[in-house]
This record gives sequence, C-alpha cells and structure tokens, in this order.
Amino acid sequence: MNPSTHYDSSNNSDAASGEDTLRLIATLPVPGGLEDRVKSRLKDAPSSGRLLLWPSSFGSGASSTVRAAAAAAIVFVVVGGGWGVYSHVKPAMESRVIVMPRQVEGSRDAGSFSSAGAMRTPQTLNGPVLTPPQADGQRKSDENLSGKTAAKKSERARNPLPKKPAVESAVR
Amino acid sequence: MEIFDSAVHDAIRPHADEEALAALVDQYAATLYRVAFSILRNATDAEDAVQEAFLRVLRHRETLGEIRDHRVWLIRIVWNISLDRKRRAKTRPETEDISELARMLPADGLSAEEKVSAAQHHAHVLACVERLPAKEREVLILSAFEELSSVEIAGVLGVTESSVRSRLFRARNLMAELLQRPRSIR
Repeated sequence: MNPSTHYDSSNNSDAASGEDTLRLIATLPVPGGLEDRVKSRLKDAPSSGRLLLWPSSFGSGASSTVRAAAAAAIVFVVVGGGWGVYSHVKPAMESRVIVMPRQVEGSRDAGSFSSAGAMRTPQTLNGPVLTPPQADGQRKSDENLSGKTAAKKSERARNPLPKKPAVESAVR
Repeated sequence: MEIFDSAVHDAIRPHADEEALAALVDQYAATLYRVAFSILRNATDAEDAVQEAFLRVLRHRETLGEIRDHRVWLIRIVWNISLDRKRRAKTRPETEDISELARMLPADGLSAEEKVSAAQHHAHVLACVERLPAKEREVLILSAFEELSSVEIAGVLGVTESSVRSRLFRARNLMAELLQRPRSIR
C-alpha cells in the first residue's frame, strides 16, 4: 500500500530505508508445503466447534420438539429450585436479648485459655476528688477548734504536766 | 501479490463446504503467513498462527457467506492471533529475534562485509520499529504489505482510513527521528 502521505523530505530517506526493511520482511518466501500442512490439519480437526453435539438420530421436527421440552425442563428445574430455596429460608427474627453460649462443664480449661485467676477490672481514669461544700459557720467553728487544739498542744509542749509519784498512784 | 477474490466468493457463498475452505487456504495462506511472520518473526510461530486462523474459520464456516471481504477478514483474524501470541510468549528477548531476522533477510549480490553491514542496519531498523508506539508500529508494519491498501489496513485494525493515514504519518516521522539518532545515544 502507498497512501499519499507527505512528510518532511529530510526524513524521507531515513524513513524509506526503514520501510525497506519492513518490505523485505513482508516479502520473505513462504515455507514450502504450507497450504498442504494447513489443509491436513483442517481435515484432522473436528468439523464442528459445538460443545454439545445433539444426537443425529432425531429427525428435524422431533429435534425441535425435544429441544423445546428440554428447555422447558431446564426452566422448570431452575424455577422450582429457586422457589424451594425461597420457601424454606425464613428471615431471622431480631433478638433483643443477647444469649451468651453456655459453657460446657468440665471444659472450662480444656481446649481454651484460662484466665489464670485474674480479675478483670475496667481501666478507668482517676478522676478529681470532690469535696462536699461546707457551711461558713461550720468552717469557722472548725477553724476555731483547730486553733484551740493547736494552742493547747503548744502549751503542753512548753509546760508539761508534773509527774505524779508512783506510790500515790498505787494507793489510789 | 495478486489476489482474485471473486472466485472464492462464488465458491463460498452458496455453501461453506470443504472445497471452499480449501480454496481459501490456497488463496490466502501465504499472505496470512507473511502477516503473522511480520509480527512474530518466527517461522514456526507464524505457521501455527495461520493454522489457528483457518481452524477458527472452520469453526465459524456457517458465517462465511456473510463476510464481504474474506481477505481482510482473514488477515484481521491472523493479525489478532499473532498479536495475542506475541503478547503471551515473551520467553525470548527481543534482541535475539531481531538479530536472527536481520541475518535471514535477503542480501543477494553483496560481499560478506556488506552483508554484515546490511544485517546490522536491518537490526537497527527493527529495533527502532519496536520502539514505536503500538498504534503507529502496527500501521507501519501493515503498510509494508504492497497488497494492502489503506482502506484494507483500516479494516484490519478496525479504525478509519484517516486514522491509518495520520498514524502512518506519525510513524514515518518517528522512524526518521529514531534512525537519525546516533547509535551510541541509544
């Protein structure tokens, strides 16, 4: 083929020399006996590419009837199967209570990991400690009380009580 | 290569029988082989591709009567088979194929030194062809077949004739650029 395309003339010789090589390839001699080999292979090959060969014993009229019957049977089986599945499968009821599976007795440690006596404690954060609010009067009395006790303590420290004689305490 | 399509058409249209298929083989086996060889660059693979193409025709011989142009149809079949085979069989490096093919190309009347030089040039050209984009490369390869018109190439590739022309234009420019580059740069 030689479509009338025009391209840069400076590239002409390069491209032409490249195409000469391709033309040489396109005109390479064909190996002898190619046609015979192809024909012999075609003879050996099965004449029909159908996957399912219909028995030829059926006449043309009977064949169409049997085909229709077979098609109807296939449709019947498919529809019947679908209906069977549809009628037997019931939608699962939504359960509100989660039932835990019962543990089989004696198999507590068999076949499963034991807890090794560990108590499961939820991980919680240490929150702030709340102190109950106190009334002003109470707080003052507490402060006074604490002031008094502190004064007593300091006084005791300064003037300790005189020791009583042991005999006296024994008589009493 | 001159091809008489009408005789084959007349033989096939009434009944797609063995004789019609044999006539197709006689008419087009060589062309199909060359097309397959231009892609696969291996004699055995090309012959296998031709045989596979005719086996496909045998399987679909009921539709032979509906085919308008058997030549383009057959070339398209073998073209697709060859492309598919080339895609799958990447066992050999491309450089081996190129050097082997370059040695195979005819170099009559050349001295031994010239033959070596010609083989190197062919190898360089084929390496440049391999570097072309697929669309441009396909058009360039098919355009090397004298018996294929741009319309027929368009039929084989399934594109319009204008696409064929524009791709060929690009392919030739790219080829010229690639061939002008010094070999050391490659």
